[in-house]
Parts: sequence; structure tokens; C-alpha cells
Amino acid sequence: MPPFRSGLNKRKTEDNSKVEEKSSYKNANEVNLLGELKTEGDNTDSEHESDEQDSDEEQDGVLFDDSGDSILDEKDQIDEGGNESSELTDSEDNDDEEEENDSQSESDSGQESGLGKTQSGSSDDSDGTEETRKRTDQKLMKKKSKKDISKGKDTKIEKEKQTEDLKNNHNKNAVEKLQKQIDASSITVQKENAVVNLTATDVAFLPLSRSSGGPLPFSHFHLPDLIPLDILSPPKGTDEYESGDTSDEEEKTNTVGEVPMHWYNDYPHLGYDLDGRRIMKPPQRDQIDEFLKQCEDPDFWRTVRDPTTGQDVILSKEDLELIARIKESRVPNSEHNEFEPWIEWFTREVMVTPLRAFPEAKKSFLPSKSEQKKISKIVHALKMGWMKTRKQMAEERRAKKERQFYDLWGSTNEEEEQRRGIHKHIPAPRRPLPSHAESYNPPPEYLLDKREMKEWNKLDETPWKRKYTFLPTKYPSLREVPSYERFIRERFLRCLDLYLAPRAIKMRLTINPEDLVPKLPSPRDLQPFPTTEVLQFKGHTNLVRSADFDPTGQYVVSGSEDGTVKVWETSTGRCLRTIDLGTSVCRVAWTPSQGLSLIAAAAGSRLLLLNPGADIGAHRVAETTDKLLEEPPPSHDVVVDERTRTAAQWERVTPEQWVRGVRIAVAHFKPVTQVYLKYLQCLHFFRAFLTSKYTKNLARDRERYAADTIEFAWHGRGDYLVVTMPDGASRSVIVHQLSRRRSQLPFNKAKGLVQCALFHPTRPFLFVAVGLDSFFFPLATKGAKKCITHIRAPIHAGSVGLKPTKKRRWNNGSADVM
Amino acid sequence: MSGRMWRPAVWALVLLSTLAPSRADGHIGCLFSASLCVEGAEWCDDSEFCLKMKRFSHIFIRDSTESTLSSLYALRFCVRKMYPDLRRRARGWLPLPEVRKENWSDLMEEIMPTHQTFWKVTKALKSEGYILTPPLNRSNNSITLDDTNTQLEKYGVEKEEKGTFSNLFKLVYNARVYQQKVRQARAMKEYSRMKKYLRDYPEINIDHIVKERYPSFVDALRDLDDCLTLCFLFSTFPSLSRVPRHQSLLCRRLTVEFMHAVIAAKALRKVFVSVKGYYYQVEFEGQTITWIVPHHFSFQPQSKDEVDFKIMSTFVEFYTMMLGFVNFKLYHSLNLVYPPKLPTTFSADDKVMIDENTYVAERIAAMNVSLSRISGSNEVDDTPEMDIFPTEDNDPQKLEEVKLEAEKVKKLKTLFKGLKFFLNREVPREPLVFIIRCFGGEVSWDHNMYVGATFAETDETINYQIVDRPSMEKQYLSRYYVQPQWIFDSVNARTLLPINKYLIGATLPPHLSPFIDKIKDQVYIPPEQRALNDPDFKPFNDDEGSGSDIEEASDEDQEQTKKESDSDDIGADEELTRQYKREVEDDSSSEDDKEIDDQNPSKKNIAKEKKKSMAVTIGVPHKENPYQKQIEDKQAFRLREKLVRKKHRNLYKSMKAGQEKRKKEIWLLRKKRRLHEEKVKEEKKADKRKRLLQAVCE
Repeated sequence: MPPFRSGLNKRKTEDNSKVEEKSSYKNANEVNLLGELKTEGDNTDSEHESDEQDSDEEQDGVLFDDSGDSILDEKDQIDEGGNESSELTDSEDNDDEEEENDSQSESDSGQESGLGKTQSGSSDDSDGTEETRKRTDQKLMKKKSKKDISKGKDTKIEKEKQTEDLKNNHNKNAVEKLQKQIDASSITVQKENAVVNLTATDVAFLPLSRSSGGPLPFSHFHLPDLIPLDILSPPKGTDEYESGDTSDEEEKTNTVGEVPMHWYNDYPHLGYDLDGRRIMKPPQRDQIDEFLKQCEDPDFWRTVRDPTTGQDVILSKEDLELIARIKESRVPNSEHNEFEPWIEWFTREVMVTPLRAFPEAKKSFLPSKSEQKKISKIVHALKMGWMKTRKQMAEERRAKKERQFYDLWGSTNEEEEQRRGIHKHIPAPRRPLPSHAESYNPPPEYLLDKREMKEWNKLDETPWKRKYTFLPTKYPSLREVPSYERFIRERFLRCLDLYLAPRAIKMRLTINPEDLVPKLPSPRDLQPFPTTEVLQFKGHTNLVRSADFDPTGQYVVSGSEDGTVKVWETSTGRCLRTIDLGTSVCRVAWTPSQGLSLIAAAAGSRLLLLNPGADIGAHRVAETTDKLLEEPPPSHDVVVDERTRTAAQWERVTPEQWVRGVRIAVAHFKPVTQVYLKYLQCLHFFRAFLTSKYTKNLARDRERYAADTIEFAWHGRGDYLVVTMPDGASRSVIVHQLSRRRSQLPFNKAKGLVQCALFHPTRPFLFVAVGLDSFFFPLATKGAKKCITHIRAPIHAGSVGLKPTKKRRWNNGSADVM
Repeated sequence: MSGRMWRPAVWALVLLSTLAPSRADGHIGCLFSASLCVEGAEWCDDSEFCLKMKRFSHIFIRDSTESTLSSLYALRFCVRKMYPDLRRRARGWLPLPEVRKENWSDLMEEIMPTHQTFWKVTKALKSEGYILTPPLNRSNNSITLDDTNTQLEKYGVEKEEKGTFSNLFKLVYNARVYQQKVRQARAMKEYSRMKKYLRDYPEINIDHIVKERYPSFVDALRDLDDCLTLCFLFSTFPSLSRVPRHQSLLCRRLTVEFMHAVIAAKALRKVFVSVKGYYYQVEFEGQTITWIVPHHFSFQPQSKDEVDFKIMSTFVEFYTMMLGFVNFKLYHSLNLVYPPKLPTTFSADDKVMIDENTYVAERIAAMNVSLSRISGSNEVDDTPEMDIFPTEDNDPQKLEEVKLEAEKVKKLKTLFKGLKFFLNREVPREPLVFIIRCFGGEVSWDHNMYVGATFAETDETINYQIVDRPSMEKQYLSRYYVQPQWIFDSVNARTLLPINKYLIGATLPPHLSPFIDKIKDQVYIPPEQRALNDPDFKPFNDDEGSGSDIEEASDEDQEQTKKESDSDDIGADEELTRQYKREVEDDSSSEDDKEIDDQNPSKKNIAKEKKKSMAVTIGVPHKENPYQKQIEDKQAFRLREKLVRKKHRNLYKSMKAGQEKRKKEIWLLRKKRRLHEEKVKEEKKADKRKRLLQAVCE
């Protein structure tokens, strides 16, 4: 402690009243003054006893309670002697300080010591009588000691100050010793009290004992465990002198040392004082007492037993505060300012004058030659562009990153276009353009109504089934249109389409569905029908059964039931020739080949081939035909089987017949009883020829005579004839070959009632009408006589006809069956 | 293109686009070398699978000559480990070379490319124009590995002179070698070396791919739709992990350049504001290009399963290149300087403020100033007169139509000429500026909104101010305040529409799509459009005479709707069709009845008369009953329908069904419109009544 300060303090304390004392107690820095204060306090106490007693009492009322002490009556008595001694030592200490510090202090100390003596003397005198006074003294002492404890814990600096004080103490050892002797005598006088006395002093001199490095006196208190011990632990740096000093005083204390006090549980004493006398335990309270005390004593909650002395100690308000502070883990000293201004020992501010004051070396001002060389090199490199600054490099890199665009299609020529690596590139189809529904403000009909919304929501799981990919919404103004959520996703899908979906060119039909419907001629379009009669070919006496044009269309041949075949000129209606066959003629047909002039006529069961003669057609043709047919072709060794032979027999024509015009006759095994005219043999023919009279009876006739008809048809080249006989059973179809005069039976089995058979005009097909069906046989594969096409006609297939196509007559006819 | 971006997918594209049939050698392995299998994996349609496969890219990208086998092992391993369920698929899709050797057979059994794969790839390639021959059945013990070196030896030398393919192969090879170097450096922990490698990453130049895909400029223009849409989208993107910042910046630059080209060429034809964004249609060299620009704030984070930005980014990489070249060509054909430059220099104090490049870029992006032209070239405004070529079908009417169209387009180009527009803050700036400038107008906006405003709002010469708010406090008398839809509708109508419907705060008429094909039949045309097409057309709600009829009808409809609402559970669609049929039948039957009723008595009379009197009467001219005839025709047609060829029957049926469907749709739209109009009318009436009542009360 700096001397001036202590001096100041002292001056203060000296003219202090009690209030000032208190304030000084509170000052943590002035711990060293404790001793003086105590003595002073004591002094004042002793001097103005009557005055102070009251005030003390008052104070006690605040700090302690009398009742607590009142129980300890005995102890109070014991304390009496102790008090004095402690006071003595106190005064000594303080005296020492003062003597050192001030010149003034000498007188003080003298006075004080004198006072102390007088006090002790007085106390001796009023030993038993003035109990109250002693008690107050004792209380004061205790209080002070406790305050000491609280304050003593603070800082090291304070301790050092204390050590200084102690040094001073040492100088005054002699005086002390004297007093000790006196004390000892007093102790001896009051043996019983001495024990307590010692402990009291111990407590009173806590700071000293602590600094001596001894056991913590404070730990004897039953303080709660929460108190961190390191706060209470003594500072390390101890002074030898100090310990020496304190050792003197410790002689009076309990000498058991650091042993667990419960060892003394079974003994009546607590330990031993320096002289080896027992320190007796204060009377123990049993639980009832305890309880009663708890009930009576309002201070019970702060009463603590000191294990070393066995005394009850009532904790003062300060103690409680202290404990509370420690509990809160704050700095125990309530005076300590936690928020003191920070003193910056090391500042960042640069001083004007450096602390280092020696001058710079001379060479530090001279430029380095080697460095200069290096720099010049670098500068040169920079100049020449060999080296670049970082900035330049970054710039370059940036420029490099930037794409350079140029005229890529500048030189487009043919060859270049051929270079395309892709042949037949199929460009990706474009996305469909938006409809009205996609508008931000669509017409109201495009917005979804309730039902459509329901459907929309229903398809939540399968959004691709929805009508739109987006929900048509109407925004009242443009600024309210939000961004489209699925935009990125849609673009992504498009990307996937572009590179993952294979593409192919698909032909798109640009036709209307109506174009696919075939255009049929309506009956109206076929008009005009032959409504008026142009010519009448008169001459037959009976029903005309059949008629046919020659291939050129110049002549018409007709066969009648009157047994004649007449050849007419088409344009005039003149009868050119009449051939009387005797039997009724049911069928006549001109040969399709133009190189022959032949008419086939079916008369009864015979098929006759007639040459109409020289007048009709080309003269030469008739001649060649005659020549051809004059002699039968040499019959090769072709064996005609029985079945065929019996079916058809080629007859030799008698000269009589020859004259009449018959060239060949084929007799069939079925005689013909009736003949009947075919319906719709040829559309053209009918148009020109038939009158409605005939057609009327048609259906009826057909029904009647269907079974008995002999029917034939020419092959397109005129060499073959197919003859059908409805009642011929399996031999109902016979094919005759003119050039070789031979017959064939194409079918082995009867398919049914054969009505009619026809050759295809150009191709090797044979059509056979059987019952309701028409069959179609290819002749090229003769071995396999299969029905290839099976056409079921809606009506009774009375006949089969081939309709010529428009472009080429007969040559390339598609077979439409009527 | 930055060095860091090695896009395997690009390689795949590149390879694909240049692969010649002869290269393929009938062997898939050649197309997807083992080292490219990652790239190849991107080919498969299972993107999830791709993503997972990419994790193993470090396994796959190896030097093929040495470690093909090991990479195959690795592949097999991960296929087994990771995708037990996908194994079959993987087997189908993993583009691996064909390897046949006894020792390897067990290894390859699972991951041999199947024929299915081959055909899939072939199909995909075919659409790009390549034809592959099926994999050859090689003799036993022969290995056909995709050894790059041997490939190069085999094909590279002979094809060198022809060009790109071998170069590409080399490119890929070199890239792989470089990657290996980097990896090696990393493995050796020589980070400085690695850094250096990464910094000097070799560039790949695939300009020739653009040229190959689009041998002529017109080809490129034809395929520009997707390119523009994607670029416009990317120009709005923030920096993403898969989309580097510079890419979106480049997209922005290129799109702005393209828009400038459109402005300079006045090529814009149609615009449409849809829910998805703004559609623009331009015409360059006879090619129509349509693209979409998304609305503001178009970027939204996407889930990984839905969108793979890497694929899109790869596309964009190619597209930016293409668009750059197209821009260059366009600018040169328009006599503009490329890259775009502004004719005026700016004041010094402006320049001080910011980086000059950004400053200029922003001014250009403002699109408010026409770009500087190549010196010496005058602005040629007039387009040459249309050449008329004698075509085969020299239809004078068609020619006339074409001429008319050309005339209209010419008019359209100067639609806004001499007009001054001012954009309010709330109006989307870019689309409007683009449109107005395309048609010759002058635009400005609040200078705080964007740079490049040329005149302030206080300018008295402004003709139109475009406003998108319900009301404005301070209004100038000298100008019209219109909503932005007016601009779009005017452009589509090709004239300045009357503004009374578009005034500030007015309820806008519907915005119609200009892309509806008018020639096509069976297209529903809303009454607004019909009114636009011919001014004589009156929307049916106008005529007051038929009001009662409408009301009746509405009553009926209401009943119907009630019924419908009751029977909603049955199935809305069915219900609708039923209703539709009913209605249609009703129409016809009502007509039927009337006609028949008209006809029958007369017929009977005639018959009676005939019976009564056999006498000769004066000939009455035969009067054909049109309805009867119709019925007959219908019957005849039905008969003929039966004779539709078997080959065409299904086609015919489907076409008919389509027709019916479209008819139904139109019917539905008409109905909805009618209902809506009635509703509006009702409301109006009620409103009127209310007002009247109020007036009376007062």
C-alpha cells in the first residue's frame, strides 16, 4: 500500500464517526485498515460505552439477534477474557503500522495501546458484572472478522499490502511479546475462557492466518457446497515473516490441525489448545431443542455451526450477500466494478515518433542493383509481350472464351451442300401453334365450366389425358399474368423429343372422307333407257329364243323356236339368210374370232356350228372357214374315255346339212325338250334388242326351264366352247375344242345344278354358276380344280355375265359378276 | 465455349450428326466407344438411369486401348450392384462394343448389345438421316473393340481430306487424353500442374457441325424455333450448377441481337400473349419462325426427376453457336455492324460511372436506338417489288391473293410509324418496346425503370401512353391512355384498332390467337374474330328482336343444365355426347316433321286426284322437293358408304369420327358462348333494374 494512501485513509478513519467506519469497511481496498478500525471501534466503544451500547444494540438488531446469543450465556462469559486479548493484539498491529507510516502515529499508538490496556484492565475489573458490554464487544469482533473474510478474498494486491503491514508488525515484535506475556497471565487467570478467547482471536485475525497459508478458517463454516473453493483458496505467494508472526497467535488456537472433526464426535472436547488443554464442546442440542429453536428463533435459517469451535454462528447480512453472490457465480466482492473502463495498454495508434530511435542505415537508401536488373528484365519482357500481367492474362482468357462468329454460309455452293453428312434429313416437326384457349384473356367459351373443371380435377393423376396441357385462365390485365410453371419442363421435354424420338416421314391424307366413298352411277344417270323402238326384225314365226351380234356389230343372228336361225343386217333389218335346223333353236352365238365366220346354235341336244355363208361378212373368211372345217383333223391316238364319249359325240355332217350351212354338229347325251332364252346374257344386247315383252316373262320362264336348258359360251379366241346342261349331273359342263374336235369334262363331281358357264374374255378363267353361287376356276392350273372365289349372289344365280371395263373392251375386263 | 465444359452429350450429338454410314461399319460399338459410354448413356431415354450412370463416369472414361476390359468389368459390376432391376434394360441400352472371345463370353453375356438396342439406335439415327447396317456376325474369337487408334488408322487417314469425322475422332481422343492428364496430376497431388491444365483446357470448336446440320442459311432459319425459345428461356436463368453463368449471359446477348435484327428487318408478323408467354412470329427469307418468350420470373427450381438441366444446357450450347452465326448472317444482310454497335457515343460522365462494355450492352438491350450500319450503305427502305413467276397452276385469283397479302404486310411494317409511345412502369417493357420498334414507332419509358429512355413522360408529343393500372391521377389530354393489349391486337389486326375498348380501366375484349388457320374447315371462330374479319357481322346478342326466343331457349337450357348437374355422376362426357346427339336430332327431326307435314297433304291430294280422274290434264311442271331430295341423297350416300373399300374402311371411319368430334367441340363452344352471353345479359338487366329501382326510390 502506498504510504500516502494509507495516511489519507488513516486521517479519514481517525475523525470518523461510526457511519464512516462502515463505509470504510465496505471499501475493498482498505482492508489493511481493519485492525485500526477495530481498535478504534473498540476505543470508541470503551470510551462512550453507554452511548454506543445502544447503537450497537440497534445494529445487532439488524445484523444479529440477541436471542441467539442469549442461549449461549455461558459462552458469553467465556468470551470476556478473550475479547480483551484480541483487542490488545489488534491495537498492537495497528500501532505498528501507524508508527511506520506517520509521525503522528506514535502518539496514536501510544494512546491506543494505552487505551487497550485500560480497556483490558477495565474488562478485567468488570469481569463478571458487565456482561452486556462484553457481549457487544464480542459481537463486534465477530462481525469484523467476517467482514475481513469477505473482503480479504479480493485481490492479491491487497494481500501484498497486508504482508507489508505484517512486516511492520515484525518490527514491533518486542512490544508484542510483552503484551503476550500479559495476555498469557490473563489467560491463565481465566482458564476456562481462554479457549474461546483463542478462537475468537483466530477469527478476528482471519486475514493474517489466511495469508500464512494455513487451513482455510472459512471452510470451517458450513457453507453450501456451491461456493467454489478456489475463490476461497488462499493466494500462493506467502511470506515467511507473516507465517512466523501468525504462528505466535496460532498457539492459542485449536491444535488438532487438519483432521476431520467427526473424529471428535464421541469426545466431549473438540481439540486442544497450545497448552494441550482440551477445548470442550459447547453443550449439544438434541433434536427437540433444535426443533424448538427452529420454531422460536427467526434467525435459525442463517445460523451455522462452526465445526472447529462447535459454536453457532449467525450469518450476517453481508455474509448472506456474499454467499448469494458466490452462488450466482459473480465476483464475491460487491464493490467490484465489472464494467470498468478498458485501459488499452497496446494501442493501434501509431506514434509520431517511434520508440526505436536509431537512424536508418545508409545503404537502405541506395537502390539495389540486382533488383534493378531484374526489374528492367521484367519491364522489357512486358514491353516485348513475352510476359503478361495477370490482368492481361485474364483479359486474354476472357477473349478466348468469347465465341467468334463469322459468315458460316458465306460460300454456299453446290458442292458444299453435298457435304452435308446427313442424307435425307428429316427435320423435327414444329410445335403446334397456340389456339385461342391459350390466350391470357381468352374468349369466355374457352374457360372451363364447372363440369369441365370436375373432369379436369379427376384427371389429376393422368394429366396427359386432359384436353389442354394448361388450364385456360382469364387475367383481367397483363400485369397480373404470372409465369408459367411448366415452361421449363415443356422445353425439356421438347429437347428430349428432339434427340431421343426417332422421326419418320408420314404421309398425311389431305382428302375428305367423302372421297373414299365410291361413286356409283345412280339409275338416273344410266338414262336414257331404250324407250323407243327403232327397228323390227320380222320373219320368225315362233318365239325368238336367242340372238347375238357378230364381232363387228354388222349382223345379228337369232334363233327361234320355229327351228330356224336367221341372220339379219343390223342397220336395215333385212334378213340375209335363214337356216332351217328343224328343231327349235334355244341359243345362238357368233364366234368371237374375226378370222372365222361361224355361228354356234343349240338345237335340241345338239350343238351346231353354222357358216352363214358368203354373203355375210368377208367372202374369204367364209371360204377359209369352210376349208378348215371340211376335213376333220387327223385323230391322233388320243384315247377318249367312256365318260366323255358318251357325254358328247362329234358327228359328221351330211352333205345335205352342209349345203344348208351346218358345218359341225355335236350331239349331247341329254336331249333338249324345251329351250329358253337367257336373261341378261349381255347388257348391250338387251339394250339394243330385247323388248320389255320378253323380259316380263323372264322370271317365270327361268323358273320353268332352268332344268332343261342347254347352254353354251364361246371362248374368247373362238376355239373353245363350253356347254352346260343343267340336268347333266356331274357331266353338266363340257368343253369343246373346235380345232381338234374334241370334248373334255372339266369337273368330276357335280357341284349342284349348273346353270351357266362362261369363259373369261381374255384370261384363262372359267366361271360357273351353280345354284345360288358362282364359282371361278382358273384354267391354267387344270390339275387343281378348285373353287377359288366363291361369290354368293343375292338372287338366284340364273346366269353369269362378264361386264367389260370401259377402257378396253373385253381385253382387260375385270370380272364383275352380275 | 469455356474450356471447363466438356459435355459428353455434345460428343454424342457431334458424333451422331457427323457419323457417316460407312463409319458405322455395321457395328454399334463404333458409335459408342467404351469411353463414350457415359455419353452414350445419355442417349437412353431413362434419364434417371443416366444420372446414376454418370456417377461412374470416372470408371468409364479411360484410355480405351488399355483398360477397355476393366471398364467393362466396372460397368458390369455397377450394373449388377446398382440396378438389379434395371439389368435387363441396361443390357438393352448399354451401348457397348461387340466383344466375342471365349474368355470374355461369360463377362459379356449380360451386356452385349442386343438387336433390339441396335434397332432402336438405328431408328433414332435414321431420323437423322443415317443408315446403319446390322452388326456383322463375326467369326469366333474375333474381337471388335472400339480401339480409337485402330479406328483412326482404319478410317481417319482415308477420310482425312473429306473432313470432319476423323477430326472429330481426334478431338474426342485428345480430349480424353487431356482429361487423363488432369486426373493424373490430381492423383499425384501436383495441384499446380493440375490447375495449369485446367486453366488451359483445350477448346473444342464445333462450328462445322452447324454447317453440316444446316448446309444453307435457309435451313438454319427453318430450324430456329426451338433454338430461339430455348435461348430466350436461358437468358432469364440465374447461375445454376449445370448452367454456367456465361451461358445464360451469352443467350441474353444473342437474343437481344436477334431482336435487333428483327427490328431492323421489320420482320415481325404476329404476336400473341399466352398463358405461357409471348409468342412472336417473324418472317425471314420466306421462313416463318415462331418462338416463345416466357413471362417475367420464369425461372423456378425444378426437381431432378422432371428436368435435367444438363441436357438442356447441351442443347443451348449448340443453339448459341447456331444463333450466333444466324445473327451474323442476318446483320450482314441488313447492312448492320456485327457485333452490334450504337451509332451515338455517350457523354463522358456516363462512361465514368460504369464499365463501358456493360454500359453499351445495356443500351443495346434497351432496344430503343437503331444500330449503326455499315458505313457507305444507305438505308434501303423499299422492298423490291414481288417477282411473279409463272407457276404451273397459274391461278390469277391466287396471285391476286398473294399480292394483297404482300400489300398488307407492307402496311403492317409501318403500322406505328410516326407515333410516340410511352410505357408506364407496370407494363412489361421488353416485349412492348420490341413490338413498337418493329413497326416503326418511337418508345420511351420512365428513366428509373431501365436505361435508354429517350423522352420523359412530360413530353407533349406523345401519342399513346400504355398503362396497365386501373386509374391514373395525372393524365395528359394530348395523348391516349391505352392498355397493352391494344398493341398486340392492333398488330394482329394489321391496323390501328379503335381504342375505345382498350382505354384505361376498361374491361378488355378477349385476346385472340392470330395463329388459327382460317382456311381449315371445322374451326370454331369466336364472334369477336368474325366481327374483325367482316365488319358487317353482328354478334347475335346484339339483335333485340330475338330476345324472347333466347330467353326461352335459356330456360330450356337451364332445365337441361339442372338435369345435367343432377346426372353429373354418370359421367360428364357421356352426358355431353348424349345431349349433343339429342340436340342434333332435335334439329333434324323438327325440320323433318315440318317438311313432311307440308308435303304429305299435297301428295295425298295428288293421288286422290289421280284416282278420281283418269282424264288428261295439263302438265304440271315437276317440282322437286328439296327436302325429299336431301333425304334420298342421304340414303344413297349411306348405301355408298357401305361400298367403301375394305382397305379404306377404318380410315374412313376414323376420319368420320374425327369430323364428328370436331363438330361436337364447336357445338360445345357455341353453347358455352351462348350461355355466357345470356348470363351477361341477365346481369345487365338486373343491374338496370336495380338502377331504376334506386332512381325511383330517390
